[in-house]
Amino acid sequence: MKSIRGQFILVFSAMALSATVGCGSYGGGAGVVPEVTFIEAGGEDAEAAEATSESSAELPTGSLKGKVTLSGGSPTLPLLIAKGSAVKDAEVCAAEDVPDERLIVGPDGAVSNVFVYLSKAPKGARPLEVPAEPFLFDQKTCKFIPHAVIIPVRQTVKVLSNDSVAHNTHTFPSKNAAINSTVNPMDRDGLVSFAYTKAEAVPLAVKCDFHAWMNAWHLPLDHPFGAVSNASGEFEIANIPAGKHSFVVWHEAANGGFVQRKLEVEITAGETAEVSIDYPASLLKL
Amino acid sequence: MSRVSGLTTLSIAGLLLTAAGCSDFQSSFAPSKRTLALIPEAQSGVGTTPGVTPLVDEKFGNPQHLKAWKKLPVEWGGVTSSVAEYVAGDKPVIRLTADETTPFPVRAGRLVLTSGDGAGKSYEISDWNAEKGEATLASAPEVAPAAGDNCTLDPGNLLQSGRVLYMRHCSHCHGTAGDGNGPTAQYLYPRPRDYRNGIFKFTSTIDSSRATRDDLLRVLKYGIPGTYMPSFLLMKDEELEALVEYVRFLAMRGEYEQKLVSELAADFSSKALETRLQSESRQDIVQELADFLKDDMPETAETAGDELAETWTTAEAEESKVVPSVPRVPDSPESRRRGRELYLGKALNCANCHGIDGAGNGPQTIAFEKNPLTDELYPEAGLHDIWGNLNQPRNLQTGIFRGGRRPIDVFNRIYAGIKGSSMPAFKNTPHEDIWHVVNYVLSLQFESETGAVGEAPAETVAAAAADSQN
Repeated sequence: MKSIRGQFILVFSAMALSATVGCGSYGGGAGVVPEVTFIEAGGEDAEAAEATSESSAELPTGSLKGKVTLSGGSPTLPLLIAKGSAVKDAEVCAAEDVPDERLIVGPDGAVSNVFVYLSKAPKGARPLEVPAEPFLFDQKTCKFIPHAVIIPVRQTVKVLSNDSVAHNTHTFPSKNAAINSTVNPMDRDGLVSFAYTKAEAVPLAVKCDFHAWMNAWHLPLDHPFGAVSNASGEFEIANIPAGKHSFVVWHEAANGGFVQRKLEVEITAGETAEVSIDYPASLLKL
Repeated sequence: MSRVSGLTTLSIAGLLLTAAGCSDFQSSFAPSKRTLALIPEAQSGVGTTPGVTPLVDEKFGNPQHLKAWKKLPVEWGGVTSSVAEYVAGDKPVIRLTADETTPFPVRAGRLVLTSGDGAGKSYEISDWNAEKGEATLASAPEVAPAAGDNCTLDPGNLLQSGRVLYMRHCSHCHGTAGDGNGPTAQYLYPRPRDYRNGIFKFTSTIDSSRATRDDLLRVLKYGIPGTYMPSFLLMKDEELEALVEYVRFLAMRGEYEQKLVSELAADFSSKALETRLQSESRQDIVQELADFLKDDMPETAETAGDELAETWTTAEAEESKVVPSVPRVPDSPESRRRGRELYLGKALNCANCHGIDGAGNGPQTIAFEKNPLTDELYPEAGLHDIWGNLNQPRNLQTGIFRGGRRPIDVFNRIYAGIKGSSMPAFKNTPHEDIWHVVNYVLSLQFESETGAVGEAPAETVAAAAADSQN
């Protein structure tokens, strides 16, 4: 090819050819029409046998009692909000001292707000009784009340407010649908109400977007075998079917959340098993 | 001279490489980040028990070969009909029963029998007569279709065309799997939507519901002003419909994957494994995983499908739609002033995020917050959405409303919040108050100075005066 014009015609037609041919007909790429295979809906034979399992009245049950103690250190957290400090909506949110509830330790090292629960209901256990009355989740001086709680699935949760500023309740579940709704100031009726439909593997965070320091933890469970440690670090779970069980111990200040992934306990019929849960300070991530 | 002959060689080489390189390209739906954070056995399975990735592929397929799970509320396409008459011979002809309400489609390439002896058999149509509804088959069927057998023409064709259109028009930003991470996504702010948790921001439904088809169609038709999402109004209605179904398909696929992963994430993620290996052996952990996958996962997967069916069907229902109980309060200086009062007031607290003058610079935007799911601080200050992106409160002064600038659009944003973002739902605020705020917000772009709630345009005032006299 001697002439420049000829060369350009060749180049242009080569480009035009590759453009028209494109990739579609070469066996791949975006232009190829995919095949579609239909799959039947199926799976309607859901084993509703859970409801028909043997009544727990016949199964022997025992209880579990315990106390969670912090070992190897006792950090005291400074106040989250000091009274009168210059935070947003200070006339409400700084009306009194607000403690940092991430780690509440009693004088003997007792840790509050520790969740102890079974990840799955044991076979043949008593079914969950969903309370008819709603669970009231309140907030005052920009602090959620309660801070850590187990809520049965399908129980209505009503969000109340005892503050004269707007709050919003924003939940961050893994398996349930999230809620993000404003709460009217001084709402004592609980206009915002919802219910959890599925049990979660670990407690979920509840926050307020207006006041970013506010938080709480909810654990929806589909069985009654769970408890949160009280101010003395103690908890009790009753009517557990006799046998070996593996409990989850979870606390918000622990690194990764788990104080113990598997707390193996043997429950004997008619007796109360006692455990003393050690919470090493090395686990803390504050 | 040599430069031009070099061009020739280059163009021929380019042509050959194009031909060679495209021949076995296979696209795939990439697993999500959360799936990849699981241990390998949880992702692929243990022995013959499938893990997350095979379970998702089983119900949704890959982009070359899609699977249509009938449980899902997606329009797969295809026209159902029934056989009126079958004429055997060299060129077998199936005549279909005419239906007064649904005319025969203009084109048909495939006929699948859905009942009778030949149920499940699929036949290629070599010639289709749309007026008479006669399909000439390319080859003789082994089992003769009987009159009254049900059949479908081109089943799945809406999904097919949706996928082809999506890859051509959408995938470069939104990604093959709808993960908002296509090749161009990294250059865009805000990022393209990641469909995979089923959440779409700009909807006409209440805060607990999914988006409707209409909502997605609106976004396709009019784009999202202020972002890189363009308007596709030039596309035909059938094409837009196909795209909406495919996007819903991808959203459901993402949600399904997410639901399966959330069953395993707490105990079988790589991070969890690190802590667990301190007290348990890997073999025990994998055995526990295998037991769970075999005993509990199949039921969970079916429940996940049922939940998807329920949420996406409920979204289209009447009770999911936002309906103001009060007709729109006409725009007027009084309404705007009331709106401004509410905007600044403690009950709604809009100024907290949107700023005193609506510039999107409220005090919330400079606070460092923690990601509630990971409990770690976000890299930058301010609010974040569930996709982990920085979520700037809207600067209302620009007059650019991403979800639409009709008053009802702004009402929807306030009443139902913006799903997935930090804009909460103000569903317990009286609707009349919300309309006042809508009027104020829509007027912000015209204010010459902060707080100067201006006069309404003369025609509006006159019209309001005329209305009040009626």
